[in-house]
Amino acid sequence: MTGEAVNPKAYPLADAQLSITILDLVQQAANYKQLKKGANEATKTLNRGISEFVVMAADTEPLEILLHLPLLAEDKNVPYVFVPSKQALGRACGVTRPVIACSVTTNEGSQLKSQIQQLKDAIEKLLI
Amino acid sequence: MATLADSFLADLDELSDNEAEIPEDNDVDAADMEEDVDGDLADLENLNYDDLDSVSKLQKTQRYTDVIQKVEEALNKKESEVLFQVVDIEDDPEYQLIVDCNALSVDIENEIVIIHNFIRDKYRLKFPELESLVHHPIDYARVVKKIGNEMDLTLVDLEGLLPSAIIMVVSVTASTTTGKPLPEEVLSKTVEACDRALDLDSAKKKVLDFVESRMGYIAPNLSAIVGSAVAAKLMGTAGGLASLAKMPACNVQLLGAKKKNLAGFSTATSQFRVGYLEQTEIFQTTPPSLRMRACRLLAAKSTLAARVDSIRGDPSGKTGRAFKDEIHKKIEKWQEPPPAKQPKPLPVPDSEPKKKRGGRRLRKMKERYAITDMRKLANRMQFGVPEESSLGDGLGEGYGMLGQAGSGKLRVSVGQSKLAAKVAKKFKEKNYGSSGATSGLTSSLAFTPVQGIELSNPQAHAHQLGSGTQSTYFSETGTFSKIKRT
Repeated sequence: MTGEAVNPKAYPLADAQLSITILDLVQQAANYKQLKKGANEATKTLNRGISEFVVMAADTEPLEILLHLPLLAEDKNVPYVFVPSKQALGRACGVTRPVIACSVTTNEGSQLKSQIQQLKDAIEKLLI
Repeated sequence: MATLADSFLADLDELSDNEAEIPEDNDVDAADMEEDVDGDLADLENLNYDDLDSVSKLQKTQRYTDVIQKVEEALNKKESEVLFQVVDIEDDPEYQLIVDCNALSVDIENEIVIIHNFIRDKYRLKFPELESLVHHPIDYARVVKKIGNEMDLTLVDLEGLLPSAIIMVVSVTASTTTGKPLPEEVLSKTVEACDRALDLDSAKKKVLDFVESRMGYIAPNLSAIVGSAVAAKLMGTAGGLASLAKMPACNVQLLGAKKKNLAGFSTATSQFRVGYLEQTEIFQTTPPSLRMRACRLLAAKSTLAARVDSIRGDPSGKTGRAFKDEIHKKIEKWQEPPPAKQPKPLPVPDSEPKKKRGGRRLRKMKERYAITDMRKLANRMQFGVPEESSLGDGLGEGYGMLGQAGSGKLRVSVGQSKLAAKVAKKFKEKNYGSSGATSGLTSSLAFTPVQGIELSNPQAHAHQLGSGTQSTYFSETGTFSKIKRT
């Protein structure tokens, strides 16, 4: 697992420091009920336009089962990012199973709004 | 191809006939063309328009003709020629044709709905209840064409068009309908619209057959799970492979689900109906009690396979076959009986320590913690005599038989207890310090068994030291002090 090469299609991939920040914010969003877990629910949030950003796991096998999310996110102008581990993403979401995709939803007046905005800026810097 | 060409030529002849006969229609058509700029308003007006050509325009388009012609050419192509074109699939013109077929099948479906609305509006004067009995547009068109202007439905044979229950209901309803026979002109327009709807339906079937035959390399993983026919239908309904990949799995489960048509019968015994996934081989081989779970599992895995296919992740279909094996494994796992009950061992005996029965220590303990005589009297009630209480009139704590012996006092004369007697004897043996100061070296603090701490009064013996107004130390008359024992 450590020496395994990351799929080049998983772009943009967050580094170790940014991954920790993303997973922390995902966990806080789970506590504030601002998180949708799973690829199908993430697809629904993108279709409804209530998504702030989308987090996906880079070690999904096969990775193609969630590569429709970047296409949808590009259409809706929503930032998206890959994190290295689906196990870590599942643990951050608060479930015992691995999670390959999740979406932080919009909530006006939420206490996480400033942190979400900072993280969106950091994710968009990866694409430059 | 020849058949379609003949129908197109016939349509052109009809157009020329209309233009020759009625010159006024040109002005009306021109007015409608001008009103098309208004958008939705023109569409609303077109719904009530009398001419089918102003409503149904798909069959006149060049795109429709080109795609249908290419489909017929491709279907006649030999299988060996198709295999050579698998190498570079994105640049293959046939791939673009399949993409056009997916878009065209959706357009054909919309066109059939428009024609169905036209037929329904025309035929409502004749048989208003028929549209609520026959929901499917193609079935409705066939029934309308079969019935025509016939008022007695027992003379019309609807066998093969509808289920028997629906035929019975239609016949009974026709005998009591309030409809009137249509004029010949309206009837001919309606029948023409039915013919056009049936032609569109056959063209759609041809397009889907072509897509189905090419499904092996359009969506190899999806075809591996659900089969080519169902894969073609799913793609046709969803509007293409990319749209299918962007759907949640719960929506894919309902693709192709038909409206319930029970015609008044109870829903208690009706079978659970799903969409196109019902037609897959996996679903049909599953036991009926597990079909709903199998349908959900099939929808989820099909969606994953469609997502792999939409970005051409695995052209060989290996992922789809892996998903199919996983589905089969799960369904077999569901059908296994629960594990057999193993013989249960005896429970562990409880090993709490044995209770003591008696003995000297237990008797002393029982005597020490026994209930007192006062509490016994307070817990008893004498028959016919009201008890006293701490607050009077039965409030507070009741005294029971306390104070009813005649003396009126609540205190009880204690019985002689061996333990109490021993304790009292033990106290008498001790000698406590006496009160009063006997010498200068003794403290005035004393402890007694009766009163506790007692302090002596040093002023009690002041008068024995002589006159209080003079100092005894410097007195000329006084000698050393002598104090008599009291």
